[in-house]
Amino acid sequence: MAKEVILPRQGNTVESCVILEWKKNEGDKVKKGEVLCEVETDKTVFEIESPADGILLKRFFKENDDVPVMTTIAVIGNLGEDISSFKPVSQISKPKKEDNEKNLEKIQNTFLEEYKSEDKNKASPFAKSLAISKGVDIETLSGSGPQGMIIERDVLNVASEVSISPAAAEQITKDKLKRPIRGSGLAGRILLSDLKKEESSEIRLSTGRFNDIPIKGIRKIIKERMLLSAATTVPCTLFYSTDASTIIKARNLLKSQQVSSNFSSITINDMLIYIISKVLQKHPRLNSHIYNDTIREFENVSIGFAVDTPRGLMVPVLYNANLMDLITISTNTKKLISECIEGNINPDLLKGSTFTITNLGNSGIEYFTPVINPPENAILGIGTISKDNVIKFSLTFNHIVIDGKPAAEFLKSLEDAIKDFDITKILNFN
Amino acid sequence: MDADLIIIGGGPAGYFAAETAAKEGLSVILFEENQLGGVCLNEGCIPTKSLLNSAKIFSVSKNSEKFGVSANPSFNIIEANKWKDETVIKLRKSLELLMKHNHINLIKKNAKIIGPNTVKTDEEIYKAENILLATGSSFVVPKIPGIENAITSKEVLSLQSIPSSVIIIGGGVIGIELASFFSCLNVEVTVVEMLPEIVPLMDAEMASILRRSMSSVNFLLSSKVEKIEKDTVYLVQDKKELKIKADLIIVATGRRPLIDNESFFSIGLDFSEKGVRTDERMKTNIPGLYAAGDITGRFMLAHAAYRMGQVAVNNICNKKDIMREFALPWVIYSLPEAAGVGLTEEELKKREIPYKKSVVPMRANGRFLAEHGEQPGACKILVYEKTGILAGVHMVGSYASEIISSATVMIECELRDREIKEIIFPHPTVSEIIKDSILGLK
Repeated sequence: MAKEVILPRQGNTVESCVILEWKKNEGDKVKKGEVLCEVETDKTVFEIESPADGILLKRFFKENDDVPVMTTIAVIGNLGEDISSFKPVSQISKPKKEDNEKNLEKIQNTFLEEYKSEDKNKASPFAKSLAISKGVDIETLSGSGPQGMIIERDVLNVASEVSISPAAAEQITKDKLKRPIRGSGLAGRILLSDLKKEESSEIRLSTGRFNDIPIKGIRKIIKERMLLSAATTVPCTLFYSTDASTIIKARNLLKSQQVSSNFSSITINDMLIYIISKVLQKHPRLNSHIYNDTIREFENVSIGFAVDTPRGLMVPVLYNANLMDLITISTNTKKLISECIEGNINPDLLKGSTFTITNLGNSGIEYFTPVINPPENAILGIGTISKDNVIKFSLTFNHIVIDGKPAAEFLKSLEDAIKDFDITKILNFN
Repeated sequence: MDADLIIIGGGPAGYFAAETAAKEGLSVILFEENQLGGVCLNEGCIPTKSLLNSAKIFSVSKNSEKFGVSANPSFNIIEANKWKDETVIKLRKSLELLMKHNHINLIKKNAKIIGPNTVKTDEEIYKAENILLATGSSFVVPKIPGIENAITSKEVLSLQSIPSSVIIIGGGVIGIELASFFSCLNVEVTVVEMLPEIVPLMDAEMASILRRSMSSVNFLLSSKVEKIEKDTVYLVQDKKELKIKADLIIVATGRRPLIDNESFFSIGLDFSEKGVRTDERMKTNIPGLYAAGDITGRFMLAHAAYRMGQVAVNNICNKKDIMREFALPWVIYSLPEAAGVGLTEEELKKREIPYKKSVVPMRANGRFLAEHGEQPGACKILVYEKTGILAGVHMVGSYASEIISSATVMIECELRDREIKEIIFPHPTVSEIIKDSILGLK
């Protein structure tokens, strides 16, 4: 018995496929599951397998033919079998591009004609056929589509297969709401509560209980900043680790009783800000902003640093950090942090940074992908310092402005600066 | 695969799901190691309704002189039990026939879930695309010293003689029905309830009316049982210690899902001691495993179980369906009856929903007055203030159990007061009380 090879439907939107290449010729012996040809949709390429063992008796289409889905494209069987009954009815084969354009034009013209001829009572072709199948008199409807056109929804409003509660119907008319296709009541009956929910009933059904928390205050600002970052930058992150013994030694020294207690409050973070602000001066591209078609490189370094507060993430700014000594950096940083946490920070101190750092080291995080704080072009994530004094850096940069190599060079400079860091020189110890 | 659907448990959720699934063309295996019909048919709804009816007939005929009827009835518990048993057997047989006609493979064995799509009896393993867990619930027996001196409602079903006094621990639905049964038979009844009002699920105002209408029953509210010794119950009420005695002590403190810890843990099922968790479609966290009825710990009513079983099967058959809770009626078959559907006044207040209410006493209803005189009873209607949609209907009085269905339809359909006003109710019926209550809304 001969068996037809059918071009399967790939998803709901694919109407036709182009045959790219036949892998078998007519008369070839094929096994069930062997690839007969490759076809292409507008999204992907897939293989058509033989549905049976036998001989490829006939190929109904040539390569590059555009074939509607569910069409018989070939026949497998025994030599000499009659295959005339398998010949596909619709042998649409057309070279793809030009015809498609013409086709589109034709559809548009038809649409326009229909649109014009139905001047009095405009209805989409689908709405019309739907109305006929549901026994709805289209003359009695008023449209809610573009320019008052009667569309599917308008027909379904009067011909839906699910019922609607009187209260829900009234609310739909009053507030000009969209009628849901199905509700949550008896056999899909639309209830008043189905209109209040913005999410589709499908989602509501599957997720069960939930809490809705309004996005407001700092969270709203964070949302806008994050979306701005995602929409305007092309982030790329480099991970780098380096020996930080100099910093650890420095901290141990500052905490010991051997030096003035004024220095004991200097943290690793303060020392890193000090080093980073110096290094950035040599890498102005990382210390820059982007405005439309302009990159603005800064001479001085204003460091924004991420602070966790009970209300959410805040980023206060240490202006011209490159000009500050270590003690000033430490004092100012502490002041900014406490003002953020208490919520009494001057809003002017939350903008104008040229580079941002974010430290997750205390949480034990090694590497992460920090999010650029626009209009800046780079952000340095500081990870945890391991027991053998290795510190981890994650540098996210905007690839629109900064290439990978200069970004890597900045990290190398940072490594060198950390290695050369000598606390005794900086604080003038003897 | 041995079947499209395996159901464990032949109670209301299980057998109704089996029937529904079979009618949808699925092949079904139903496991039930005991009798079909579950607690409802074998030791709950049906037998208790049979006995309650006998007791009510006795009570009515004894108190009928004012209606011009004099009788000197006697109550024969053996005969009453016989009638009850015959009823149960008839219903059980028709259930078995129903399963047979629908080609449901009923296996009278205990089965446990051992893996996805897999259940096991002592000897064999069965597999199916979908499994419905409907293993029901068991009595809650509180940890009170001497609780072994008390019997449960199950044992009440086979009493051979009527005691002269009973103490019922628990003033919930089962406790109140038992209290009604015994008080109809002139037994001295004391109900001990821990909460300040009986039947916590009821609208509090209506629960109070029900309690007062059962005037021959002694209610001890806000009372905690400390211990039981033979025929004596020791309890604390308002810090006062009390000691009460009776021929028979019955514990009716509710039911809890029959959780099979070992098997549930082994398959990773999401459950707690309150029941197996499901979503609105009765799906558990395990693909292909559904749960319905008392095992979910929700509602614990036979008609809720039917519906849950139906929802599960509809979803198995890819028909969209969800378990709605807002129009789930309940009934107490006491004398007088009580019933309700929808939200109570307490729930509306708690959710801060503005509402309007109307309460009409039963004696304002023609048929009720003709048949019962000025007995206590009322109908309470609650509507959402903003929309006029019916939110809850609560009743105490005869026929409440039958009338509540019409209120259920109204709430399911989300009808508003102005639509209900136009519905024609037959006259004279007690059901007119719903319309009268709606008309009484201000």
